[in-house]
Amino acid sequence: MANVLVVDDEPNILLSLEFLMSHAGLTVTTAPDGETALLRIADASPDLLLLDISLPGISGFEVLEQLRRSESERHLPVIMLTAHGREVEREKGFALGADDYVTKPFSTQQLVEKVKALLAERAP
Amino acid sequence: MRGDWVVIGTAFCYLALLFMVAAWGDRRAEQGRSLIGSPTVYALSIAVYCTAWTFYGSVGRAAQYGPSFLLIYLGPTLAMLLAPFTLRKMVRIAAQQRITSIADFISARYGKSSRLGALVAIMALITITPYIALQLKAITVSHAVLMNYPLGADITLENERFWMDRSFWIAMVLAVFIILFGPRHLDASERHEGMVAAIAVESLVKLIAFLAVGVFVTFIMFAGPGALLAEVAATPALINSMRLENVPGGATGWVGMLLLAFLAFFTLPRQFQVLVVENVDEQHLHRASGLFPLYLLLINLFVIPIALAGLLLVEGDPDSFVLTLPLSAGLEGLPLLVFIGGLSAATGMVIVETIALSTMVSNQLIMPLLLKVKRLYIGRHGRLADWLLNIRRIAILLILLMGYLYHALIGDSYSLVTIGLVSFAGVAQFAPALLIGLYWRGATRQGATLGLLAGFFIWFYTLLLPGFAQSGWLKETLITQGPWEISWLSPYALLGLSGWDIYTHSLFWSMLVNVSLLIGVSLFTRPTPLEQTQAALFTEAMHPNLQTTSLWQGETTEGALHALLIRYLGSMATQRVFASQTAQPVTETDAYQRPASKALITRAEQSLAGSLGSASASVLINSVLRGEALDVESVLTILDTTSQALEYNRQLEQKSQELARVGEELRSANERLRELDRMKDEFVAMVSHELRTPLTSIRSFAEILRDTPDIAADKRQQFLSIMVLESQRLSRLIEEILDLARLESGRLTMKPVAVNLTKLAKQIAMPSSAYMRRTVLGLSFMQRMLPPLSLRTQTALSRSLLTYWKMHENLLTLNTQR
Amino acid sequence: MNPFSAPSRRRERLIALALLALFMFCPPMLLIVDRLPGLLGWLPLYLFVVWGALIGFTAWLVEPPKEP
Repeated sequence: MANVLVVDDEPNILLSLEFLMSHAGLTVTTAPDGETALLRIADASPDLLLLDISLPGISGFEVLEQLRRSESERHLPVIMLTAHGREVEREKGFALGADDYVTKPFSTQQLVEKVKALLAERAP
Repeated sequence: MRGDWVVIGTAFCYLALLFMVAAWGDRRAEQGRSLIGSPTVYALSIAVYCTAWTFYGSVGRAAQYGPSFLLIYLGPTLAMLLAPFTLRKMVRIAAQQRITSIADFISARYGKSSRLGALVAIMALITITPYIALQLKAITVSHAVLMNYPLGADITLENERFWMDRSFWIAMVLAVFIILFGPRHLDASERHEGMVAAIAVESLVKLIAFLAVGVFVTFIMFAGPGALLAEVAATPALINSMRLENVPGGATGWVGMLLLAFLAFFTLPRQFQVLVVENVDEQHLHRASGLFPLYLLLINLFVIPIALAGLLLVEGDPDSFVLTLPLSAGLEGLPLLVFIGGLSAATGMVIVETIALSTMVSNQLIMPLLLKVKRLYIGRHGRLADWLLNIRRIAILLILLMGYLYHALIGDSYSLVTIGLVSFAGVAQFAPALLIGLYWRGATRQGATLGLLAGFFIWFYTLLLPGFAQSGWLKETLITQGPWEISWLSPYALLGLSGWDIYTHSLFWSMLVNVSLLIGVSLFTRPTPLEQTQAALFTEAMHPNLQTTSLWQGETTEGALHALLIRYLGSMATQRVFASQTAQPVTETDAYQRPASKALITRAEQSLAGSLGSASASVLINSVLRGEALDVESVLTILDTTSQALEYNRQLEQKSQELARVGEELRSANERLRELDRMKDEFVAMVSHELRTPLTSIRSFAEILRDTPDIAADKRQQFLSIMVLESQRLSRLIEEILDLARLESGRLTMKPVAVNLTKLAKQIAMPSSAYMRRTVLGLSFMQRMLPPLSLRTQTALSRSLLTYWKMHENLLTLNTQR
Repeated sequence: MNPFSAPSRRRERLIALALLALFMFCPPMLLIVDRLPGLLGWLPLYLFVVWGALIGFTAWLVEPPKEP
C-alpha cells in the first residue's frame, strides 16, 4: 500500500487531506512544517508528497529543492499545494521539479485522481 | 643730534628713497612685470586716505571730542563693504571709457559735457586747496615742534618774508618732486604704477611710525593700557572724555559725520584716483574691502591711549601729542621716525591729490579752452602732446602755490581736523551726481549741474564763509547774527536750525538741496541723445554682454585720424592705435584716401579720452567726421535689446529650472505610485491567500461529506463544525477587510476598549518565534522586561492587528523565498 | 540665474552685513553702550570690537571659495 506524506500548516486542511487520502486507500503521514516534513521523508520514505508552499520555517519550495538535490529521494513524486494563485509561483514550482501543481481551494476528486495517476505512473 | 641738518637730511633721504621706489615701479611696469599687481598693494595705496590729518589730527580730535574721530574711518569701512557693488561698477566704467578723474567721470556720465567737467574741476580745486594747505601746515608745524621743543611751536608767518618761510620751500620741493615722477605719460588713464608703489610704501611707513609711538606711550611710558586707564580714572577732568556727550552734536552729529566720511571716501579726487583710475584688477577690490578697513583699524588703535596720555602728561596743542610725548620722554630717534611718518602721510596725500587735480585742470579746464581757440587745433602742426604735459606740470606747481597761499593767509585759524572736514563736506557734493548717476538712468545733465551748483553754494555759505569770518577777513557778526542781522540766514543756523554741529548742519542743507534739484530737475528735462547713451552705458555697465559698441556713424579717412592723433598724442601713441590695423604701412597719399573703420574711430576716441578727457575727445573726433557723427538711436536700440535679451535669458533659465524641478517631482511621484501599485498587488495576493485558506477547508470537507455518504456520525459532526468555524473565520476576515476600507476612508468611528498589550504581543510573537529566530529579521521578545502594558483600542482593531501580523508573516515568508 | 549660486549669495550676504554694520554704528546701539555703567565708558571698546568683527566677517565673505 502506497504511503503519502501530507505537509500543511493549517490543521483543518491537513485533517481533510488525511481523510481523503486514507479514504482512497493510502497510508498517510502528516507534517505541519518543512523541517518535520524532511524528517518524515527520511524515516518513512513516502511514495508521494503533497506539499504546501507557505509553511512556517523552511518553505515548500526549499523542501522541494532539498529533495531534488538528495541522492535517495530525487525521484519522489511531488504535488505542490498553494493558496497563491500566481503564475510566477506555478512556474517556479515546475522549474524546481514539482510533478503537479494544485491551487487551493481544490476539487477533492481531481486531487485524489492526480495522486492515483502519479502513483500508478511510478509503480513498477 | 636734533640738529636742523639732521632732520632736513633725513627728510630728503626719505624723499629720495620714495623717488627710487617710484622709478623702480615705473621701470617694472615698462617691462611688463608690475609691482602693484596685488590686492595688498592696492589696499595700501587706498590708505592714502590717511593723511597728516590722521597722523596728527586724530589724536587732537580724540583729545577734544572723544570717540568722534573714529567716524572718519568707520564711514570708509562701510563704503568698502559695498565696494563689490559700487566701486566695482565705477572701475569697470572707467576702464571701458578711459576715465581720467572724477571730473571726467561725472562729465562723461552726463553726455561728455565739458561744462559740467569744468564745474567739477573748479569745485575740486576750491575744496581741495585748503586740504593741501593743511598738509603743508602739518609738515611745517611738526618740523617746528621737533626743533623748538620744549619751547612752543608758535610759528608766526606774518613776521617773515615768504622766502624765509619753511612751508613755501616745502611746497616747492614737493612740486619739483611730483613733477619729476608724476605726469610721465600723456595718457592719464594709464596707471601711474611708480606713484602707486611709492604711495604703498608711504602707507607702510606712516603705519609703522604711528604704531611705534603707540606702543612706546602705552607700554613704556605707562605700564600697559591698564595702568594708563587707572591714571585716567583718577583724573576727574578726563573721566567723561571718551563718552558720547563729548561728540559735537551728540547722536545727530555722529550720524552726520558717518555719512560725511562715507560720501567723501568716494568723491575725494585722490581716493577716486587710487580706487578707480589706478585699479589694476577688479578682483583686487574684494580682498581690499577687508584689508583696507584693517589698515584703518590698526592706525587708530593707539589714538585714544596717546590722546589720554598727552592730556595727562604734556601741555600744549593736542595735534602735536604724537611728537611731544616721545620728546617729553627725552628720546631722539623716535621723534624723528614720527616726523618721517607724518611727512609720509602728508606727501602721499599731496602727491596723489595734485596729480589728480592737475589732470582735471589740464583735461577739464585748459583743453576745452584750447579747443575753442580755432587757430590752435586747425592750424599749425605743433607738438600739442608736449604742450599738454607741460600744462599738467605747471598746474602741479600752481596748485601747490595755491595751497601755500591758503596756508599762509588763513590756515592758522583752523585746527587740522577742521580744515579736513570742511574739504570733506565740499567734495561730498559730488556724491549725488556720481552715485545717483550710477544707478538712475533718468538723471540728466541739467539736474546734475544745478544740484552741484546749489549744494556747493550752500557748502560755501555754511562752512567756508564762516571760516573766513573766523580768520578775521569778515566780521564775526556774520556768524553770530547773520548777514545784515537777519538771524535766519545765519550760516551756522540756517532757518533757525541750531543745536547741530556745523558739519552735520551744512551737510544736511547742502545734500537736501543737491539731491532734490538733481532728481527734481532731471524729472522735468529731456536728455540729449548722447546723454541717453552715456546714461545707459553707465547704469548698465555690469551687464556681462555689454561692450562699448562703436558709436560713430560718420565717415572719415585714416589719414585725417592719423594727423589728429599725431598732433594731440604724439607719434608713439598714434602708432599704438594704428598698430592693430592689419594692412601694411602705406604711403601717406594712400592712407589719406582709405576710409577709417568704425573700430579704428572708436579706438582713436578712447585713446584721446585717456589723454584729454572724454569731452574733448568727443569734440575732436567730431571735428574730423563727415555726416551724421553719432548713431545714437541705434546704440540705444542695441543697449535696450541687449538688456532685454539678458532679461529673457534669465527668465528662460528660471523657467527651465522650474521645469526640471517639476519633472523631478513627477518622476518621484511616479515612483511612489509604482511602489503603491506593487504594494497593492502584494496586498491583494495576501488577502486572497487569507481567504483561500478557510475556503479550502470548507470546500474539502463539503466535498468529502458529499462523496462519502457512509461516513461515521462523529466524523460528520466534526467536519461540519470545522466547516462552520471556517465559515465564521471567512466572514470575520471579510468584516475586517471592510473595516480596513472604512478606516482608510475615515468613516470608521473609533470606540476604544482596553487591550492588554503584553498579551497581544505574546499572541503575535508565539506562533512565529521559531521561524523568527532563523531569519535575519529577528524579533526579540523579552517577556520579563515588558511591564503589563495596556492600551485602549477597538476590539476589531486588535483582531485586525493579529490578521495584519499574519499577513505580514506570510509576506516575510515570501521575501525569504525570493 | 540660480538665486543660490555663490556670487549672488555673496552679494546678499555683503549687503546684509553692511546693514548690520550701519545698525551697530548708529545711535540706538551707541546710546545703549554709552549708558552702560562703568567709570570711563565702554563706547571706544565697543566700537573697536564691532569694527574688528566686521573686518573678520568681510574677509571671510569676500574670500573666493577654495574649490571652484
